[in-house]
Amino acid sequence: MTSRFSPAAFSLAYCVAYALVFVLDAPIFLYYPLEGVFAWAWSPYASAGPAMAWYGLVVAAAAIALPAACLVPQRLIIARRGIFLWFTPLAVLAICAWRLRFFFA
Amino acid sequence: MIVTLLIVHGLVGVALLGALTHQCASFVRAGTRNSFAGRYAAVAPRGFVAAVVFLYVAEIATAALLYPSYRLDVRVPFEEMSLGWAVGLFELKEHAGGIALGMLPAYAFLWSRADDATLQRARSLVTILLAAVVWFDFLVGHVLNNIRGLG
Repeated sequence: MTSRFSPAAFSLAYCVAYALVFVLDAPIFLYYPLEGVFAWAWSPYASAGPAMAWYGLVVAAAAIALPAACLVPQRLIIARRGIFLWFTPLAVLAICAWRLRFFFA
Repeated sequence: MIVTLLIVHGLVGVALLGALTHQCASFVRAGTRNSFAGRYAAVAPRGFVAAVVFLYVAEIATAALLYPSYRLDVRVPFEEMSLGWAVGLFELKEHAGGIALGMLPAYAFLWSRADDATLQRARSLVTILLAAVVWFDFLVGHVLNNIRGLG
């Protein structure tokens, strides 16, 4: 039995999912470094310190990308000379920079 | 322990920069074969792929271990010093690093098809994008470390 996992589809889905999760501020979990506690994002922990979302963002994007990588055929992703493979992460980087512009205002 | 990990993180970053920069230089093939630039670019780019993937994963793993210390011991003083731009630079660095982590499967896939001429542009641009992220993250990390120091 051959694997249907498509690395190219994973990367594409991961980038799109990362952008969505970031823009919607929807990490799957948060980490509270002061107490060293993880908590689901929908039931936040009452911490005296800050919460970290990055781990939850990466895991959420990967969790969305894994099934997509098994469902979407590789040939669709590498169509048009693989333009989606470099354009999508570039666009997602631009979206992240745009969302963070208030730090530099 | 954290300082040791930070130094390891920096050293892995240097190795990763070297590998990716060599790969990118091989696309340009600048200079004559006997010049420094020519010799620097005269590498077999496919040979760097496994090293880049391994080093990138190691870099992200050390970054993930260091991140809580940054959040408590570095970001809080930055905010108290009204260094919003420094906090913003780190935010950009973390998201660029996270996005590039997801690009690794495509990067490895494209190089596994190094003989496919139709994917040449995508292969080059994904590699250049990965190198740009690593360079950006390295320089931002260097600047932030200069502001905060190791103490």
